[in-house]
Amino acid sequence: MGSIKKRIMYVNRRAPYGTVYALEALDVILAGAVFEQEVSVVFLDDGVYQLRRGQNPSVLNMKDFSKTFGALPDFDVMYLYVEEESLVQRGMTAQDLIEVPREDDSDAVTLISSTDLSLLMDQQDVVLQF
Amino acid sequence: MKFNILVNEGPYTHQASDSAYQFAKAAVTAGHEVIRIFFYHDGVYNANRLSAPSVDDRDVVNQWVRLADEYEIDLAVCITASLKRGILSDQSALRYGKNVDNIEKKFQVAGVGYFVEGSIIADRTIVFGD
Repeated sequence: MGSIKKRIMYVNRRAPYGTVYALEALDVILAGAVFEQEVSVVFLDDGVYQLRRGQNPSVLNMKDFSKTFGALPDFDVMYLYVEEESLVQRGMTAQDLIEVPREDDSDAVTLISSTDLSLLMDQQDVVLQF
Repeated sequence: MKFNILVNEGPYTHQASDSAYQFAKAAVTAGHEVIRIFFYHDGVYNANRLSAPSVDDRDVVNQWVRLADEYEIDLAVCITASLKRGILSDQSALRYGKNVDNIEKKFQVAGVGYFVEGSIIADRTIVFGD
């Protein structure tokens, strides 16, 4: 398996709670990490809420899985792209998002414009939307 | 061309599993190869052998079995997604002390990494869902 290297992009488009898609998408990202491909994760539309700082879903009897995003750099996922337009439309800024520090302390959470994101998507071998 | 397919919704509520079936059938009929069909989220209900649709309706579970038999397609359900939704293999039923198993035998049980691996091997990954 090691010989094939593909660019895989996971696109999260849904809010973290309300449906199970976001949580189970994170399971795919973590499980897929063993194949050591070139992986990036995108947060788009309501998906940007997944990285919202200060979540408290315990009142919904749900676990706050936003903490798990913090582990992604350990799984060699170095880019968590947040589409700027989606963020702005929802009245949020970068300050509203959690930080995901890489080994060198830089933040893996990276804002990206819609135009740049479409260029990046075009370069992928596999785009998986959840 | 080699296709890897993901089915994310259960039968009868959503069109997704019907569309995935029609796509897979059309692909193999046209001479392409479907290397793997993976069932995730509520898609795991496609493997429920206790499903008993009325006689004038299509039988989604059996459709998968017949297609897989005829074209030697690998059908796999996600272990984590299926366990919590009560879709159990005989081994899982035994392990969790349940008095019945309900996975149609043609479906194998696998980790979600098996799907990601499929997307690395295949030329195209097609996702059916919401």
